Amino acid sequence: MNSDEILSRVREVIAKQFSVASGTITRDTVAMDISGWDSVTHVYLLLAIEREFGARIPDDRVFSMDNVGDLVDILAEQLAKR
Amino acid sequence: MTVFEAALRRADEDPEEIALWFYAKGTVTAVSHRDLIAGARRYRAVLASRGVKRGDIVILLLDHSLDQYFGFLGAMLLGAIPSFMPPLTSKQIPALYWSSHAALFQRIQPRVVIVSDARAEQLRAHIPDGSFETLTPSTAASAVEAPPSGDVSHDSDVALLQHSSGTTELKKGVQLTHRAILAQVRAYSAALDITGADRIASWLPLYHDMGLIACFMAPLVLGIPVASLDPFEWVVSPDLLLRAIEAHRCTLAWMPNFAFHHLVRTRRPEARHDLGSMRAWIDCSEPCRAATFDLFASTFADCGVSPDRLQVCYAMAETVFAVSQTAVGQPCPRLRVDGDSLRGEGPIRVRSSGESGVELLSAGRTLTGLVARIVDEKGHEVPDGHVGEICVSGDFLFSGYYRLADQTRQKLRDGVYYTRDRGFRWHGELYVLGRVDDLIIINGRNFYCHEIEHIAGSVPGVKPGRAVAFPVDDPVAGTQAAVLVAEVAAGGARPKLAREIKEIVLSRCDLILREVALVAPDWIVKTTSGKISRSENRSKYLSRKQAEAQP
Repeated sequence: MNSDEILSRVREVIAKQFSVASGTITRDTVAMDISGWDSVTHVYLLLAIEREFGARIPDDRVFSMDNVGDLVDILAEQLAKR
Repeated sequence: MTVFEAALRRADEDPEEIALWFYAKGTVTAVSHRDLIAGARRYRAVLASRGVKRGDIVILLLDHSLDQYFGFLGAMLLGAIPSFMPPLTSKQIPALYWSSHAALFQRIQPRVVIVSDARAEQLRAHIPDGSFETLTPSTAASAVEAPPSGDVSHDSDVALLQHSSGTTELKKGVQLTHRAILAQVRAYSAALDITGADRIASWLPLYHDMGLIACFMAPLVLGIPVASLDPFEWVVSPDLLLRAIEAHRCTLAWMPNFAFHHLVRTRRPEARHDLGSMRAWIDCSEPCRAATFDLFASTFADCGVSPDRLQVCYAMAETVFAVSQTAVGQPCPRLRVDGDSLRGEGPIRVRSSGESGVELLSAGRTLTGLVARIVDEKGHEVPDGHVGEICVSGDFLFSGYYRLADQTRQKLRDGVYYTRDRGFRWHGELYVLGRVDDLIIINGRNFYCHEIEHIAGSVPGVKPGRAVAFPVDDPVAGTQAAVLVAEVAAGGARPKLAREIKEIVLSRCDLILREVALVAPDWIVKTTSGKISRSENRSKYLSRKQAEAQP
C-alpha cells in the first residue's frame, strides 16, 4: 500500500470518527482543526485505525505525531515491517 | 504532628516496606519508605543550600518522576510550602505557557522552581527576570543527603498549596495546614475502613487533589503502598492500570467519571484481568453517572468487578479532599427523580423505577468532623429534598487562597466554605447536581467559562467581547466538553483562526476546546440588560448543530 492509499483510508476513518467531511482532511490537518479531537479521543482514533489496517501503533509514537501526515508515515512504517 | 512526622513514624516501623511501585516507560521501580525519606533528605539539603526557609514557596513543574515525590517531601522537611503544577506538554505553545507562569509567579513569588533538565533553559529564557532559583533533578541527584534533623514546622503551618485548574495566571493556591491534612486522612480512612492491607493504584497527576491527597499524602501518612503510573502513559494504555492492580493486588483506586469510560472503550476483547482484589473503584471529581457504573460493571464483570465495588466520593481541595463518601461493600444508593423538580424552588419529586426521570448516584454521607449544609440564596438552611448550595464547615477546611485575600473572603465566611455546588440531602445521603456558577468540569478538571471567553476575546480577529463559552454534555465520554462560539471581526475569519484560538486556550489553560464555532457579527444573543447569556447561546448553538445533522 502506498502513502496516498494509506492517507485516503486514514481520512475516511478520521471523517467517520469525528463526523467531518473527509474532503477537508489533508496531510497538514492537525487535531486542533477537527472538533472533538483531543488527547483522549486521539486514542480512540488510533484504535479505529489499528482495526482498519490490522497494524499496531507503538505506544511511544502515539503523541509524537504533529499532523495527519505524521500519522500516515508512522502507519506506513508499521505496515512495511509486516 | 506534621505530615512528614506522621510519615516518618510509619517509615520507622518498617523502613523496608514498599511506599511506591513506580511505573515509567515499561519498568517498575519498588521504592521503600527508607528510599523515599532518603530522596526527600537529598532535596532538603540542596533546597537548604539555595536558601529555602520555612514558609517559602517551592514550585514543582515536573513530568511523572520520582523527583516529584522527593522534591515535594524535601521542601516539606524544610518547612517550605511545595506545590505541583502541570508541566508543559508537547501541544502547548511554550511562549504562552511560560508567560502565563511568569504572571502567576509574580503573584506567588516562589523561592525555587524545580523543573526538568530538559525545560530548565526554556524556563530561564522565558522568565529571565524571575526572582526565583531553578533546580533540576540532575543537580539534586548529586546532593548529599542531609542528616536527620528536627521538624521545623508546626501543625498549624501551611503544609502545601493545591493549585486550582483553569487559566494559569489566575490559579488559586488552596492553603492546607498539616493539621487539616492529618484530620482529613483520619476521617477519610475511617469512612473507607482503610487498613494496612490496602493498596492503591493511581494514574492521577499529582497536581490534581485526587492524585496529591488520595494517592500521595494519605498513603504516605497511613503507610500504604501506591502503584504510581504516568498519566500520559495511562491515557495511551489504560490497561496499564488494570495490570498494576493485578500485579500488586490493589484494593483502591480513585478516578474521574471519564476514566471509567476510557477503560471500557479501550478494552481489547481478548484482555483478561483479575480485578477481584479491588474493594472500591471511587468515582470522584466530576459528576458521577449511574449509566457509567452500569457500563463499567457489565464490561468488567468477567474480571471480578461487581456493582458493590463502585463507589462515589464528593471532594474538593478546600476541604483537603473528601467531603462525603458512599459506604464501601454495598452498591451506591441511587435515586430516580423528576428532572424538572431539580431546577425548581420546591422539593424534588422522587420517581419509581418504572417511571421516566433522572437517575442520580448518591455522593454518600458526610465525613465525621465535617458539616455539610444545603442553603438557599439567602444562606438559610433548606429541608431534606430541597435543592440548594452546598456549604461546608468543620475540622479540615483550607486556611485561605494564597495571596488572594478578596477571593478568600468571598468563599470562606465565618468558617464556612461556600462551594458553589448545587445539591440536596435525602435520607442522610448527599446528592450533588452541578454548579451555581459557570464552572465546567472536564475529565475531572475545573475551568471557568468567563476565563476561556476572556482569552478567546483577546485573539486578533475575534470581535472584542463577543465570545461565549459553555459546556455540552458528552454521555459517550462520560464527561462534559467546552464549546466556544466567537463572532469574527469585520472582513471575515482569517484562515486557521479557530485552530489559533484552540492553541492559545490550550497553552494558557491546559484545556482542549471541543469546538470553536466562528459566527458572523450579531450571532451571539444578549439579554435585555446587555449581558451575554451562556444558556441561551448554548441552546442556539445546539439547535444549529441539530439542523446541520439533518440530511
